[in-house]
Amino acid sequence: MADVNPPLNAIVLSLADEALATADALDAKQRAGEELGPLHGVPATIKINIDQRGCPTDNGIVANKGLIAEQDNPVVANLRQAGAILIGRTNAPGYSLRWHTGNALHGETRNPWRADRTCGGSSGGAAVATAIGMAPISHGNDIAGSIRYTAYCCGVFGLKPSLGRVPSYNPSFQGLSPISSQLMSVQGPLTRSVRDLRLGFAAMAKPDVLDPRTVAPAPFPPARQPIRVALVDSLDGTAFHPAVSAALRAAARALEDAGYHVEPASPPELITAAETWPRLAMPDLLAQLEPYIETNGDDGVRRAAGLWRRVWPQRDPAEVLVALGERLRLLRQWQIFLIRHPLILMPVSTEPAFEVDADAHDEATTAAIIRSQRPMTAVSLLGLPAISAPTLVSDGLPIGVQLVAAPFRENLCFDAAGAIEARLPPALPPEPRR
Amino acid sequence: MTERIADDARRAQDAPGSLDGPLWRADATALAAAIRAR
Repeated sequence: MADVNPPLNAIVLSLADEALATADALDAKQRAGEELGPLHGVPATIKINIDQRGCPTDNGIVANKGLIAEQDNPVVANLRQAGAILIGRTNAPGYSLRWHTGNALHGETRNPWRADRTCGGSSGGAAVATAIGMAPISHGNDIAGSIRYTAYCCGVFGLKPSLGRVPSYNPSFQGLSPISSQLMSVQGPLTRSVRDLRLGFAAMAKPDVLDPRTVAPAPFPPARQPIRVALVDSLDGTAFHPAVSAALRAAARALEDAGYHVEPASPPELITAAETWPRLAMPDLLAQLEPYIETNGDDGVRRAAGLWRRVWPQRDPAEVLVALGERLRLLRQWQIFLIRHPLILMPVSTEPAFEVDADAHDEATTAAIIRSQRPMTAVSLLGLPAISAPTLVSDGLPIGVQLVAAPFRENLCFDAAGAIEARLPPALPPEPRR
Repeated sequence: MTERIADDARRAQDAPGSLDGPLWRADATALAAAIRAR
């Protein structure tokens, strides 16, 4: 960590002393012949917006730097219970509210592949920490693509679990959780391999009474073979960036080679689903956060959120109720679609990682970025599981694909991501230099 | 801790299916297996 973190600034709080003590305790447990957890001794990181006992849940905000958590969020407790050693806290944008990672409290996090491109947001510190090998498993969270986009930008695997899989609750948070957070925000792992993704997910996905949304679903019967995969190769009749299209074609070939049947097909009203995201979130989550952003936000998040507001002007709380109805209607349609096509192969973003700070520049650029992120916001709205899987490197940047399945069918995403990984082994980023 | 993790990572590199490359590139599954095998 000391060697590779400084030039990239992925981990903004080192927990080396605590980690050493944990390692000693775990060693003692092993010597005593006690039962060991599946992550016994494995280093992991936690994002700065989640309560971790004794650490600030500052969320990248200077005014919150003294907000020390008194107890663990259940996802942190689950990782500890599994035997993970928490070695540091990873960076995010202020209020975790951008697709880029940097803030006035901790500074910018750099993409290890290309310094002129974003590492993504909001789990950018997590993606970089894992991409360069500081921790094989990093915790992230995702409400509009924060796990999937950062994994995409940094060339690692990221899992956005189904809503209700991984428990989360920040006891330090005094307010009421906005409905859009309740329905769309999920916790998940970022890793450099699919088997580690399974391992991290299994450790995190233990239901907890502190999060009444979480359940332990019954096992599903095996999917009928060959599994039909719906390939989304255009949106709105518009082709994707050539590198994104190439990644989709390569992933489709890999899946065909593994015995899947891939055919062009689009889930119903994908664009409507993406456009329902702001109808749910803007009058709710954003409206609740805006006064705090105005008072405590750094320039970057103030500009980025202000541009979101111009592109997405929704403010009427009644809009949220309509969006909730739309969400259920769309989810019903997608679940019907997912019977014939249990997997969807689609972009994470329709463009490669954008230039650093492009999301806080001007309205037209923000509108273009929002358009390119529709494959992520649509899936967030519906609470479906999705894996962001690196597929190829183009122009010095990793490009990946998104695999989406029906609620609680993470196993289908894991199997398909594993088939792609086996045929298109992900590249590692250049080694960081001070 | 750095030394300890480096040691574990070195063992992990010898484990089946582990990644090649610098020590700090060991993966979680191989690392967990190597630590258990100590």
